[in-house]
Amino acid sequence: MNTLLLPANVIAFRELLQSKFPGAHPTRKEGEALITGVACVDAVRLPRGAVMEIVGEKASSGVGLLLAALLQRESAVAEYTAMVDGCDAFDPWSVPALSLDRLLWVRCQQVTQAIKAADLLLRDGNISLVLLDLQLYAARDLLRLPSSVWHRLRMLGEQSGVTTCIFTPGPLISCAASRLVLEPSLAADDQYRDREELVSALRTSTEGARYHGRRAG
Amino acid sequence: MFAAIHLPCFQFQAITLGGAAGPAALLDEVVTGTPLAREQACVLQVNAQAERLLVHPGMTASMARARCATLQFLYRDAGAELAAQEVLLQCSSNRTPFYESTSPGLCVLDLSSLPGVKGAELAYGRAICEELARSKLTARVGFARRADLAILAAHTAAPIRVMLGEEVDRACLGALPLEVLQPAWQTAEVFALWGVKTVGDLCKLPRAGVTERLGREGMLLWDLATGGRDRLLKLVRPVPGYRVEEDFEHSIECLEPLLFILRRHLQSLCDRLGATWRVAAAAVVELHFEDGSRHLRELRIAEPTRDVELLFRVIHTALEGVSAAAPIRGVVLEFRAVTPAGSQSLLFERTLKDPNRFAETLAHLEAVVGSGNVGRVRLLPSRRLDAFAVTGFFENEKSTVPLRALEESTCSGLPLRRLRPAPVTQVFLVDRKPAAFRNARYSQAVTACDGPWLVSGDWWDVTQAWRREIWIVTGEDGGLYQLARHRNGEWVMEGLLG
Repeated sequence: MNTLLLPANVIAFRELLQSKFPGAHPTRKEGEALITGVACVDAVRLPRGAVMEIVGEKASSGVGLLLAALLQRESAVAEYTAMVDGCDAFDPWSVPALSLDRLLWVRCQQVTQAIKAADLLLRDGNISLVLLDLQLYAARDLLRLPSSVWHRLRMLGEQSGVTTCIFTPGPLISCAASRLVLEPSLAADDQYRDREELVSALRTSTEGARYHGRRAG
Repeated sequence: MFAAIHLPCFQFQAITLGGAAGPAALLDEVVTGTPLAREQACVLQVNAQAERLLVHPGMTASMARARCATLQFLYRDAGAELAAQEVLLQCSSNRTPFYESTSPGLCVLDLSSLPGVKGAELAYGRAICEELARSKLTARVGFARRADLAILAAHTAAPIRVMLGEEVDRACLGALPLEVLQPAWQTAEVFALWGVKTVGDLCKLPRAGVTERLGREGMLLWDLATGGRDRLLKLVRPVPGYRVEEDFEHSIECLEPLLFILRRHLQSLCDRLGATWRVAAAAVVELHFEDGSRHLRELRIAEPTRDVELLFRVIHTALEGVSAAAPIRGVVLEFRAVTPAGSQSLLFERTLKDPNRFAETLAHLEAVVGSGNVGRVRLLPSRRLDAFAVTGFFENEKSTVPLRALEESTCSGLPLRRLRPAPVTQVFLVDRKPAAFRNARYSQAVTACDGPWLVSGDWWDVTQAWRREIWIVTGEDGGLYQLARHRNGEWVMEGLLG
């Protein structure tokens, strides 16, 4: 909303509230980064409204760990997270029950369903982070999708300020602002280790932004 | 101060609405009766022209016709009487919220809390008469300090009577027929035997004597005849309804005309909500089809509102995905009304910018991925695989899992990524341990395995009992797979770890 259209007393009241409760009134600024509490994601300094591609080419490369960590993220104002589960692969018993209260789970059976669901959530703009999990699909199936699909998601995210993390089995989203590649680093003994320790030990490599699009305010 | 509004010859007025031309009489008999029954039907009420021709209530139809060959017979109509009574109640409710529907064609209003009536009763009564005249009803209005006395005053009004000096005005009540007190027919017969025909006749009898002979009813009638006692009104409290039903004259086969009709009803229902300062928390839409089937949908409004456009959008979205085998014959629309919330619930909790828009998006999502596939997850207290339920996003139920189970679910280790449905897998065992596995998608030699873990549940119920033997195996590609053997010996791959 254009603040110029607001009455002066409303603007003054907002400023007063922001000064009293700075944590509760995070204002979206140009280039503001999404803070998730997950080191490898935060290191990218992903701007809000951008698309991030997270690639897990091999089985058990840590996609599930990263998803679970993003679902447990904490922010100043409690925010909801939407997960568009492209392959209906999410196991709710694998994440702490308390983090489920702030999750919108969309269970899909087909890629097209998942894309439509993500499209709707990005248009809506009520939920600030959308996780689109397509990692269990074969890369060749996803490559059949026209690239305009990803461009449309990127543009919708820019307009609504919703950040999107897309989990894929290979690098295929050319318009992603950033790409995080997960390298296989997990072993059978890891199932007895602490979750936080496992997330921090994930081996990742980052590719910088390929697309520098217009950033919506 | 009480006012009584009386519609004289109520049943007659209800049918004719002032439109009867020529002498007419109202019969309490159905038209389909036999000719003899019609001849012997009793005349209930007559209009002034018939009365001038000496036709009186109580005559049979044949006697009345003998007095006047051109007499027009009318028959009672319950629907018309109901409609006329509604008009009367509406008129009363426009004046005060404290009114009584005493009998058909009679209402008593408690005006004690209304300022400006005392001293201006005639003008007030005229306004009531004019309002009812617009609905073609003739009314008489009586004012008095007691409700029952006001009723008697209304019966003698022409068309307005104010009875404040009771002793002075009581004399005029004496000529009223005894029927205005509405005695039971047995009591009326006794009075007839005594020769008591008017209210004045009854007043002349001693109260103790009437009570002794006719009991409680006699005492009450005597009290009524002498001006009544102070009593409380049986107030009409209309239940505000937020429901409309419509059966279509012509069946509807597509969405647009249905939406057009619903839009119209929405406006009226929202007006009703606005009149009572309430908002809609849910909308129930019910479609009736020609083949007798029904489609019922309850739509929860995320942020209760009475905004017509917003509610219309929610209903539109919900109906978009509906398909049916037969055209729509009728529709029912109902709102669940609540009092609007006075304040924001929690300062740091509300993070949905537009809950109603989000609810609409959820409806769209449900249309795309199917019902029950969108929402929040609720864990169920079981170790069975996929022990959870997906509930609506705006249902604020707390998890049904006990606290201990929640604590246990603060997970460590690697999360499982499920394969749904779990594919049946061929597992090759060496020394009773998996050495390789193969299914439609994965085929791996096992380099390491961990297990088995035995889990079971519902053992007390033979039909529900389950048991699994779980193995975590490492494939030659480095992936970690979860295999399970069921009690029937069948292997499945439940998912991947990490």
